[in-house]
Amino acid sequence: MNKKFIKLLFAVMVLCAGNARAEIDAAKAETFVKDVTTEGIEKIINADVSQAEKDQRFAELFNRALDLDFIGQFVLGRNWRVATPQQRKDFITVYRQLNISTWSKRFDEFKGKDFIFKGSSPSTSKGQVFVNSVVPMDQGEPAKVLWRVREKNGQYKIVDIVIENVSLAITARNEYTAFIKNNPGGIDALIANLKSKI
Amino acid sequence: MNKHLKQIVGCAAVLLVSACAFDGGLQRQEDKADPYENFNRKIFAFNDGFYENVMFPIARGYRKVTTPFIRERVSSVVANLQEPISTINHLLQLRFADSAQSLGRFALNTTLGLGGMFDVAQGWKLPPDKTSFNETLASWCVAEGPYLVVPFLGASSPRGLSGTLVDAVADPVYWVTYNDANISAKISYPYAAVKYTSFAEAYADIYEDLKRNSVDFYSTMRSAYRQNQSRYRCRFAPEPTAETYDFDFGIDDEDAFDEVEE
Repeated sequence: MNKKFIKLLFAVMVLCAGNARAEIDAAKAETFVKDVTTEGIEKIINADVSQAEKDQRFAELFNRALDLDFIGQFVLGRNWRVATPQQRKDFITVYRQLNISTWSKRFDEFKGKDFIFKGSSPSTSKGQVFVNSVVPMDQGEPAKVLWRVREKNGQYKIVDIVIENVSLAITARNEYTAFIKNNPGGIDALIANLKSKI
Repeated sequence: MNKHLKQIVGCAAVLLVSACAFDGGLQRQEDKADPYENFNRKIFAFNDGFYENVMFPIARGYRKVTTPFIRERVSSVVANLQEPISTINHLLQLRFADSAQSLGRFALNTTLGLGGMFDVAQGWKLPPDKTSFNETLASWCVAEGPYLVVPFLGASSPRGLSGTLVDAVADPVYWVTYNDANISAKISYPYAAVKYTSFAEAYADIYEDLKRNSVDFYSTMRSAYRQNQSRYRCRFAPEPTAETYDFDFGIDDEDAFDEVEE
């Protein structure tokens, strides 16, 4: 009886711990994404500084706001498990550089645009939430942009951006998985190919 | 082509691809394979050549001789002419209020908006809400079917292609000019040319940006198309427990990062 009770107590404790981990403060996540976009617009897009300075600020914001280690591992998918520590490290490095260089170029396209935040939606993944936003376009319907935010040790990080239902992480994962499958060079060939694009 | 023959061929094509789509419905929903990948990749390469060598140069020429203001008016007129397609499809989806809304938009923008050049309806609390026959079929639970790359048009599926064909027939420019072959040729072709040039101008840069940064562009486009399509819901299906863009975004072994982090 006593043993049973201890077991039950233990089970409850584990469950509660699991719940505590599953909860993420949606309001805080929303504030976090708002701050990131505001900083991007005010201190980078609209700032009166050189392009080199803008690129540097973008890289700093990008590294601070996104959890690229987490995203990189997700994006490599099942290939992560078979990758050597060196391949993992090289992949994360090159994936980070490529994203910074492509998005800092794309970022200017947002000039004159604004994000209108529309609350949040729950995620089935632990400790994650979607922050909803729309970007009004010059013409037609506004674009829907969702930010998947993950909390870890009280820190909030963006782990995916979903534009018009298209997840950047899933798209990259499908693309890289297909490349590795079709390429005899495997992960090393992927790393070399990504490097050539920076 | 003889007009009736054109009609018959059109109907047969729609029926054929719809039948394929229904057949696809029998397959398991999660079966998202790409059985025609080899064929699709060939068409994809052909399309890429066509876009890069024909469509985009035309689009960039168009960009050179016009101002953003003019291009916006042009694409606005084209979008307005597509509005009745949304009106009909909203109706077929039993979304009567949305159907009335797009009809109201068409009426307002065609008149007060000077032939659709200006979206005045938006200011009257009638925002755009575009829909298609593809969405109509999806709402009545027709499965998407296998992934298809269509010559010139790009990413599609049997359901998507049925939708494109039906929407083309529902286009007011098509049915208004239908009875006079002479007018039809004079209006339909220039209209189609303007429509695709305007479209290509808007998408050329983003297409090339995505291509440049992709290691397998075919897979990128396929993945994006499918995710985008997954937003449609079958009206008889139970309410899903999670949004389609949600997925298990976790990693098995977080300690693995200790090896990555310096």
